[in-house]
Amino acid sequence: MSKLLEIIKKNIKLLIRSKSSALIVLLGPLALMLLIGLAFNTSSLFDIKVGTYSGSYSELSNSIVEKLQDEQFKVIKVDSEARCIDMIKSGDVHVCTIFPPDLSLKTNDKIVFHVDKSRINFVYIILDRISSKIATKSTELSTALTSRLLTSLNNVDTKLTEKSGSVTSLSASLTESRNSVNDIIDDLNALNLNTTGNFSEVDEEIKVLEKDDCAVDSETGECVPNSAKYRDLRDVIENIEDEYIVLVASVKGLRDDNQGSLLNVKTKLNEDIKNTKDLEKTIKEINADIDSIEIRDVARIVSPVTTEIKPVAAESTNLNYTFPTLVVLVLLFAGLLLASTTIVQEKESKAYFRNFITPTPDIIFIMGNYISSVLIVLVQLVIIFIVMFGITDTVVTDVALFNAFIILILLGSVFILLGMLIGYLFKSGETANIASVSLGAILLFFSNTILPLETLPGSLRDIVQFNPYIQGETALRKILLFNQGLDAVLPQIYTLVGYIALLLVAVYLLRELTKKWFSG
Amino acid sequence: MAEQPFIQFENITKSFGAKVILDNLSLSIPYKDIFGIIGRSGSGKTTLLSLLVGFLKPDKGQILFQSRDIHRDLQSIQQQFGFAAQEGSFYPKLTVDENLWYFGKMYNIPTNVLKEKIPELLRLVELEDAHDLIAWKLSSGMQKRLDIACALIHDPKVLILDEPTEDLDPALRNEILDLLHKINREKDITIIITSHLLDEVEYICRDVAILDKKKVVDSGNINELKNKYARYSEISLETEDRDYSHLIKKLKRKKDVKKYSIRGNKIYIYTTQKNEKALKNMISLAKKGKTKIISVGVGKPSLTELFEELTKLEAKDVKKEVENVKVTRDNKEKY
Repeated sequence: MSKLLEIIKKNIKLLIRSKSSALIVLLGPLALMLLIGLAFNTSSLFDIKVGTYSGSYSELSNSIVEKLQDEQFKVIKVDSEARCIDMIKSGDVHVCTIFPPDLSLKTNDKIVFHVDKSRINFVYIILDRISSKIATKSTELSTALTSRLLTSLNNVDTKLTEKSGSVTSLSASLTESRNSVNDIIDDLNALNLNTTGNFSEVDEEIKVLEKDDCAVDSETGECVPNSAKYRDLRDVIENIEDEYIVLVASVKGLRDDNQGSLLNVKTKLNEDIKNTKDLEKTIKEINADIDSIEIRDVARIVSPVTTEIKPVAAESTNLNYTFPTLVVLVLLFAGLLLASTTIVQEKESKAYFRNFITPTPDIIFIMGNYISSVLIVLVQLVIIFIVMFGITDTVVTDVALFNAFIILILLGSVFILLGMLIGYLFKSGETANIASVSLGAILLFFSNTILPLETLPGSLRDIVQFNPYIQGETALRKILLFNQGLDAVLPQIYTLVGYIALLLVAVYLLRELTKKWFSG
Repeated sequence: MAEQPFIQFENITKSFGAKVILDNLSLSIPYKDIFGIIGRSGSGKTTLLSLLVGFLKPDKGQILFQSRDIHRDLQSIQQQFGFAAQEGSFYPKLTVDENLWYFGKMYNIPTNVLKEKIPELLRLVELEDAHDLIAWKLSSGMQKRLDIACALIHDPKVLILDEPTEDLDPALRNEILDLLHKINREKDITIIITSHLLDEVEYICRDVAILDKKKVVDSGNINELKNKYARYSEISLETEDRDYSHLIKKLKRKKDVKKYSIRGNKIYIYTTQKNEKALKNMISLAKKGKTKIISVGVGKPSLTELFEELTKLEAKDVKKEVENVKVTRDNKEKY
């Protein structure tokens, strides 16, 4: 134990006395976190340059351009589509938006975006932000149009409701008229114009009267009627009969004439009644239809399905989200470079041989170097966490912090042992550094940091899952972002512990091997 | 104790891949000796030391330390060995105290013992005033002394030094050699040195082992080895003008002169004649050159001569060998 402590003390003294190493080890993570903190402690993007071009800017396209122009976006109007695309290639703009000439709501033209897809991690963020800006404008337009439609619909509904009574009255009037016509027709039909009158009976009566009113003819003995008197009467009556016959004929003619017209009127009235009833029914149906529209709120019609994205982790800044990745990244390079440099320096040191010939087991030296590196990495982590909590208002529970440190120590151990392996494997500091950076880059590239793992083929992804970088990052995200306990990250812990055991054996064997190289 | 070999290499064979470095090598190192191991580049000196400190295991044979196989009880035996490599094995960014403290702990020395031990050791290597200085700020001589102190922190019974004076100027070399004498005297410690500077080895070591062709060609007390292998008398001459061209012309005609070499300001002549006769002849030859003789000497061949004899190398080859060693080390440092 005393030897172990001496080795650790010696390693730390050597590191501190090497001013450049001390500076990198202690101030490196501090500077890194401050810079990253200042840069990423926001949830927005800044200074996105959007090139726009249109053969003829319309009111609509200008309003979209205005919408884009805010603190996030700088809009540059370009004089041609080709120039706009060239500006993406040269990096002068991030995205190029081409508006069709005289863009209006009446046309069905498309707004075209030109993007540089080689900026994989950036292009979709920009497109998302621009699309959301344009969607906002589109929603505004939809709202205005829908509002107008709804107002018209409401007016129609009101007016139809108002006029529905008139139509009903009209229908009743028409029915009444038709009934009157029917009555007239019936009355006309009821007229008995076949009578000839009882003028013959009158004549007979006159004859009776004449007979009774006769003076017996002395000659004949017959009663001679007072013919003159009755002749006149008969004439009058005959005249009346004639007039009567003429009158009846006239009435009959008139009835016959009007009966057809009345029947026509009746037919028309029936049709009108039917039409009016249909109209009334239609109005009622339209009213019912309009009334059946339950949603009259414009916003709800424009966006009938409303969405809300709820993050599983507490809403925060980019820095908070990327913090687990950032810590693992620092740990990766600090662990690899620090451990490999320490080992190479030890190997290149004049004292290396003397250490070999002391009665000190190799495992003590290995553990001494390992613990020294772990302690230095721990100091770096503490600095990173202090700076992180200093520049952000992140709140992490004590339990989460403790759990995170367990994972970080395990992960740090893996990287440190990998660094030690490199240190023993390579003879010079330069080659060891190149190997460390290369290994770090490989672990980094085959993680979620540069590209999502989902972009890798399935078989490769299955292997890459065991990348200690991914294991550590996954565990840290669960602990720091989702506040999960150690039981949730047991698979990652087992994997990391497995790596540590394997690497310890490998480091031991390699150290033994370096003795042979050294002596050879 | 002195009767039995303190350290014994028994039939050691060591290969790296197909390349055999040591082949059935046997060697005994006596207790409390300052023992030199010399050999050509690639002769296996460093491998021999690595085997001794337990850094390497022999393919065959065993190394006994006080009759115990070091690889069977490595950790406790490692406690008995201190090692100082040519380049210095300490942390340049730790202070002198911190280096000693750290290595003391690595050798399981309790804290209270270390607290007394470190000042005592610093006094021995004369670094008391530099105890709180960062090691890389020390002069090269001080760094070498710190390295030796680190090797002595656990009171080893054997101090092993690989080219201890390499890259030091002559003054510092003497300083270190004197320090080693002092350590050997005061600490009751056996010192094993490898060096290509044969004069130095001759100066500091009582015993020596000569490695060649994967084996120890011979080992033992230097004087005894010289007597054993001295076939020629060595005459050294120094003239006022130090121009030996006239003399060399004459030497070439002398059948008894087997070889000669100029080292420093002197010419060394090796002859089959007996010492006195040879000396008279050489003085007479030199005088004919009309130059004044400043000094003259007669003696046994140097360790260099002995090394040449045993490895059949000419003096210039030895010099080239030394240069090769330097180039190899420089390259090692570069990479």
